[in-house]
Amino acid sequence: MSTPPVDRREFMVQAAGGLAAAAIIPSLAHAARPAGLAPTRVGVVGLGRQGRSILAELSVIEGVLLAAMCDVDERRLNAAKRRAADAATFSSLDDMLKADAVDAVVVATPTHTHREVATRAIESGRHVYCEGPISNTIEDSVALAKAARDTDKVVAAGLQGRSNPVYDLARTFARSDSVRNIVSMRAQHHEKTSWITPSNDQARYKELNWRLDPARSTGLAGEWGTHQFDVFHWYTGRYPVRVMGHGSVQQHKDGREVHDTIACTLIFDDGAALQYAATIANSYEDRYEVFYGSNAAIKLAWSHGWMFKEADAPTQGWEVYANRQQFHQDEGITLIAGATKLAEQGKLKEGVGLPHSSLYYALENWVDAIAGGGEPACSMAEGARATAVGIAAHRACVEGGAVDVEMPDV
Amino acid sequence: MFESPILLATSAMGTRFEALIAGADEGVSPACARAAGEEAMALVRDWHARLSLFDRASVVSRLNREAADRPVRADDEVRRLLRRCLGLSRETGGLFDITAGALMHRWGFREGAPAGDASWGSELIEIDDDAGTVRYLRPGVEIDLGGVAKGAVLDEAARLLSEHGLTSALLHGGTSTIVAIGAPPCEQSWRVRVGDGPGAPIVDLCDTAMSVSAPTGRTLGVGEVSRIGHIMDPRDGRPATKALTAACVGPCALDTDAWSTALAIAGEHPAGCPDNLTTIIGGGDCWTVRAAQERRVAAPSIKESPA
Repeated sequence: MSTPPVDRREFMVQAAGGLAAAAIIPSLAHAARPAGLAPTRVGVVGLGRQGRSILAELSVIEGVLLAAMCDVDERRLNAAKRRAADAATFSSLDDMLKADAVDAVVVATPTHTHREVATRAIESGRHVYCEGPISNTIEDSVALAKAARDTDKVVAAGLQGRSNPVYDLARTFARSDSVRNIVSMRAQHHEKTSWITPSNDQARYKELNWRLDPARSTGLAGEWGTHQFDVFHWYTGRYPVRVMGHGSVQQHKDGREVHDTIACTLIFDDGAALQYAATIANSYEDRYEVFYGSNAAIKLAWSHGWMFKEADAPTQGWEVYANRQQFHQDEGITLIAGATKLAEQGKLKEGVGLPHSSLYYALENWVDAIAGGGEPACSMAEGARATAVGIAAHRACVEGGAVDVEMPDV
Repeated sequence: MFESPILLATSAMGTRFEALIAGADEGVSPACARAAGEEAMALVRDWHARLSLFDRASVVSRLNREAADRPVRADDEVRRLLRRCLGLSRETGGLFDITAGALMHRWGFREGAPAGDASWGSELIEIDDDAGTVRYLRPGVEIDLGGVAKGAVLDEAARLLSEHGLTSALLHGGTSTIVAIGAPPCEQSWRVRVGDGPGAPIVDLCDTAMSVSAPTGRTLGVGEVSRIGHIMDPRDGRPATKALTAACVGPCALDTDAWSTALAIAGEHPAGCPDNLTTIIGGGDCWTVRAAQERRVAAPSIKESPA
């Protein structure tokens, strides 16, 4: 894959040479929070597992007041209350918005409801963080991107790669001579689960298990793949144009139609290919993304990143001090944000892994953008593009053939 | 009752957690029961990520890194857990102490050293609920929730399973902390043996928790002392040596975790131990059992092990 032209910031990174430069370049270019600013009052809509994780992260972000929580399910509201006792609880979005309790809303409801919930929040004059994928249809994605463009509020798509410091650092390497020409890409998400959300109430069960409803679900490719596809878009500056896919129910033969195991190939506009696999029958190696370059490969796994150099790649001075990890026959150089400072303190090893979760950085980036008047790391337009790729990949897996990506004009 | 029990497992907190689900209210399908079990295992992993000493992104790691320099924000659940731990430290007369983590460095169980001289004592932790923060009052303090994390998460997991209508299940973390929901179908209780050997007592559990502590559970050679246990006595800063195996049975796994540690350090039924807890201590063929006096909760019966 040919690399897009580098901008001045990235040229400086390359010229200064990898690690040292990475430490002097701000990890993420979002605005700092002005001193003395009142905290941003945030409400969270949708209190399933992801919603409750969001509550925990918001609780520790500086400048956030976790003010309200909303879900139609009383059990979930009670569980959330244990995590954020002082937040007001609502069973209706309208009531939460009318109560004037929040400045900003996190949308963590089922994917097919994002358009309705996020649009109402935007129209009420709130900042919005919308979990990814931002919708289950191209039409809804376009509508959300348009609503985000038409408001002066900060609307972010919840695709976390773009605000992750390890991913940001690795991107400087991926777009430099350290990796050189990216020839192919691979990613997976393996997680052992039935993908069933329990409920003893039949009607509620159907609502909670929207991911297993072919009419509403975008399957593993949409629900999980979208997050990972966006990383490749961000790194390469390119988008897939065509997807070949295959999927099947290999493990959970309980009458479901939504595949539990998929594999697809995403072809980018320059001919490079991304191989993607996902399953809920096995958890080996969890989730990762890999870029294969002619000088090195880069592997990313949420809180960690590694670079695997080719034997003939030029050696750089900082490599002498690098922290390394053995993977069978390959040795990976650990990518550590702020490595130069840590190396000076003799604490390089302590820097392995991020000090916060990937979700924390995504939410913090959004909150800082609200406070500082900046742009979020992942716009709704990029969210719409990644969602479109996820939808195309899902279609390809369902149809068992090739599908052209219908890239929205956002 | 299901045709066959459902077994789920996950790796967390350096061990294996399991949930054995045997029965539920009418109308709860096996698929729903399994899904509830999966949620419980996910909850275990979630708490592991928040409490682990070895995950840089955990709340506990962040507190140990930063809380001696400034107040650090922590969510309500974590602050509530810390506050309960500080309460248990007072109730056990300091036998159980989450700040004994610094001693693990001193005795070589852990790499590296906390900042400054090792300091311990629950009075060195300050929780501010209005500000939502936690602060350490001296450098060198390090909390370690390893003594109660399994109990805390199993209490939450059991609550979740009960909310989903499960009436018969056994959960454990590394077999050292166990929570029983109801009893197996057609049985009065879950029967669990404490320790090994022919004289080891068997405890009947029904809607109760049990925790087991043994200083010999993990040992390390240090100089002339060939083997020392991993449970530290916060009173003198030395490894506990008195008990072989200590177990505590009661309504709440977080509490039984803390009290089993206190029991292992004291080597006898500790003063101040609530009446609704049963304590067991011993090894080989010699065991001492002190049964719960207060029967507000389903108290376990202790039986001799069959020869």
